[in-house]
Amino acid sequence: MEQSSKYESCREVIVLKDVSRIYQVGDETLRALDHASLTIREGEFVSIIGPSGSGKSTLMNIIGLLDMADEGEYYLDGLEIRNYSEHQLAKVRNQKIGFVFQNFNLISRMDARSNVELPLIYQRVPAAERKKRVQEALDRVGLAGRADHKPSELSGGQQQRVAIARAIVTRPSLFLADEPTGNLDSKTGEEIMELFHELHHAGNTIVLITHDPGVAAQAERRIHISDGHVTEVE
Amino acid sequence: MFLQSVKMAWESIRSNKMRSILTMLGIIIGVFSLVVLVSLVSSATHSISNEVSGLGSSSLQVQIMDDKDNPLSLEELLEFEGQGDIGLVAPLTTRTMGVKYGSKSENSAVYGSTPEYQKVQDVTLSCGRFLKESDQYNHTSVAVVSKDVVTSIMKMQNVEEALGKELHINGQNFTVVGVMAKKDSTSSLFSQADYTVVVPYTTLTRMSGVSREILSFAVSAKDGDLSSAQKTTGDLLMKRLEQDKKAFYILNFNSVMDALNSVMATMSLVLGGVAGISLLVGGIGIMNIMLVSVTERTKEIGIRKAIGADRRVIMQQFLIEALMISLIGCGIGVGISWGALRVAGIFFKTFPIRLSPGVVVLSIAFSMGIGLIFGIYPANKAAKKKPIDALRYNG
Repeated sequence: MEQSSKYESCREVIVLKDVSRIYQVGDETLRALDHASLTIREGEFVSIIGPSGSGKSTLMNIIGLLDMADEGEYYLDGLEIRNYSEHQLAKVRNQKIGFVFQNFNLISRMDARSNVELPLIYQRVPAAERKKRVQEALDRVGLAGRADHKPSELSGGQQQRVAIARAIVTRPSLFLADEPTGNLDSKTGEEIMELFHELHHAGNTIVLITHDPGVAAQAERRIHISDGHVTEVE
Repeated sequence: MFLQSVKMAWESIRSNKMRSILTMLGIIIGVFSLVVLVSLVSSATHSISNEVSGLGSSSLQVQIMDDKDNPLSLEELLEFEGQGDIGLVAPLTTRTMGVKYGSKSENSAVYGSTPEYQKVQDVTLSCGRFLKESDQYNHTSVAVVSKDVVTSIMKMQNVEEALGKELHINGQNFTVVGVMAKKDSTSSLFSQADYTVVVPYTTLTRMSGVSREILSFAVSAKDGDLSSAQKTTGDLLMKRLEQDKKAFYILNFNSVMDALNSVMATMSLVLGGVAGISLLVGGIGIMNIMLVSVTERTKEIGIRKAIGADRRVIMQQFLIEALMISLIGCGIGVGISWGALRVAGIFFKTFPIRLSPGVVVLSIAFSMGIGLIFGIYPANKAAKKKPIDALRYNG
C-alpha cells in the first residue's frame, strides 16, 4: 500500500492512533476528527487532501501541536504527546516542527532576516551561530539578497520563501505546510513546490495539507480525509 | 533571551513612535510634577533650616517676660552653669543703638555679653579676638562686630583694617577688637544686612538707659542634649520666678526645626501624593495602550507561539515593553524637570533650587512599579492566547 522511497527509513515521525477532536456546538457534538489513524515515516513526502470542512485543518493543528486531541494517541518523533504542558508543547514545536502557512504568517514589523532568526532566538542559539544559520537558510530559498526587506516589500512568493527559510533554519524533524501555494499564482506556486521537492530530496519529512489535487499529486503518498475520517491512505 | 526581549520591545516602541510618545506623556507629566514639586519643597526646607541653624540651633534662647520685681543678676545667671545638663550661659542683653563710624551711622543690635557668648552662640572670628574676662572686670570699651558692620558702616573691604578702629555707639567710643565671620549657611533668604555688635555686659549696663537686669540669655547644653538642658533651665527658672511658667519662655531651635521639618515633610507628601496620582493615571494610559497593542498583535502572538514561544517569553516581551515605556517616560520626565529647575534657579534667587536625588530615585522606582503593575494584565492576556485562535485572528 505504501510507496517505497529510497529516502524512507523505518523511523516513524508521526503516529496517530484513533485520534478524535470533539467540539461541542450548542447541543450538538461535532467530531471534527473521528478516530483518525495514520503513520508517517522519516523522509516521506505526504499530502493530506480533503475538501474544506473535512477536518484537515484540525488534523494539521493536532499534528503541529497547535491543538490537542481529545481522544487517541499521538506520537511525534517518538514522543508521546499527552498531558504536555504549554511550555513543553512550545519547545517541541520550536525544535521539531517547521511550519509553512497559506498566508505566510510573517511578522510584518520585522525584516526577512529577523523573521527567520526568531525561532533560533527562542532556542537560545548564540548570536554568531544564529547569523550563520539564518544566512544559510535564506541562501537555500534564494532570498539572500532580500534579507533586509520587510514582508510588505516582498512579493507573495518571496514571502513564502522567507517562511520556508524560517522553517528550515531550525532543522526540524517535520515540515508541516498548510496550503503553501493557496495564495500564490500557479507559476509561483510551482516554484514553491519545487522548494519542497528539494527539501524532500535532502531527506526531510514533509506533510502538505491541500485541497488541490494537482498539488497533492506531487507527493509520494496521499492521505484523503473527509468528514473527520481518514478514508484512504494511498 | 532577556536582551532579545529588550531589543524586540524597543523595536515595537520605535515602530509606533507617535503612540509611544503619547503613552509616555502621562508618565512624563507625572514624573515631572513629582520631581519638580518635591525638589522645590526640599530646596525650600533645606535653605530655611540652614537659616534656622544659622540662628543658633546649638543653644537655647531664654526670654524672661516677668521678673516679679526681682531681676536676675549676672551672678545668679552664672550659677546656672554646670547645673544638670546646662553647659555654658551667656547673657543676651540687647539694645538697638546707632552705631557710627565716620559719617555713616546705622541702627545695630548691640549685645552686652560675656566671653561665653562665643561658645554658646557658636561664633567664629574672621580676625582679632573675642571678649575676655578682663574686659568684663574692667568695663573696657571694646567691641566685636559682624562682617556687615565692617563692610557697610565702616566701609572697609578687608576686615583686618577694622581692628583697632573706634566706633561711636550711643555717644561712647568702642575699639573694634574682633570681627565675626558670617555663618556659611546664611543664604539670601533673610538677605538684610546683619549689623551686630557685641560688647562686655558690664560696659553696656553702665550706659545710659540700660538696666543691669537680665531679661534674655542663651544656654548651651553640656553634651549637646538641648532638650534636657531645656528642662534643667526651666526647673531653675520656675524656682526663681515663683513657679510661674508664664513668666519666661525658652526657645529651642531644635524643636523649631523639628516642627518646620515635619511641616515640610507633610507638604512634600501632599504635593508628592498629587503628583503620584497623575503618575498613576499615566500608568492606566500604559495599560490601555498595551491592551490595544496586544489585540492588534494577536496574529503576531500566534505566529510567535507557533514557532516556539511559550507563555513566559510572550509575557516577558510585553512586560518589558510596558516597563520600557514607563522608564523612558520617567527618564524624559526627570530630564525636563532638571532643565525646568535649572531655569527656575536662574530667575528665582530667593533660595537655591536643586534637583532632589531622593525624589529621582523614588520616581524611577515608582515608574518601574507602575510599568510592572499596569503591564502585567495586558502581558498576561497576550501570553494566555491559544496559538490556533491567535493564528486565525484577522484584525
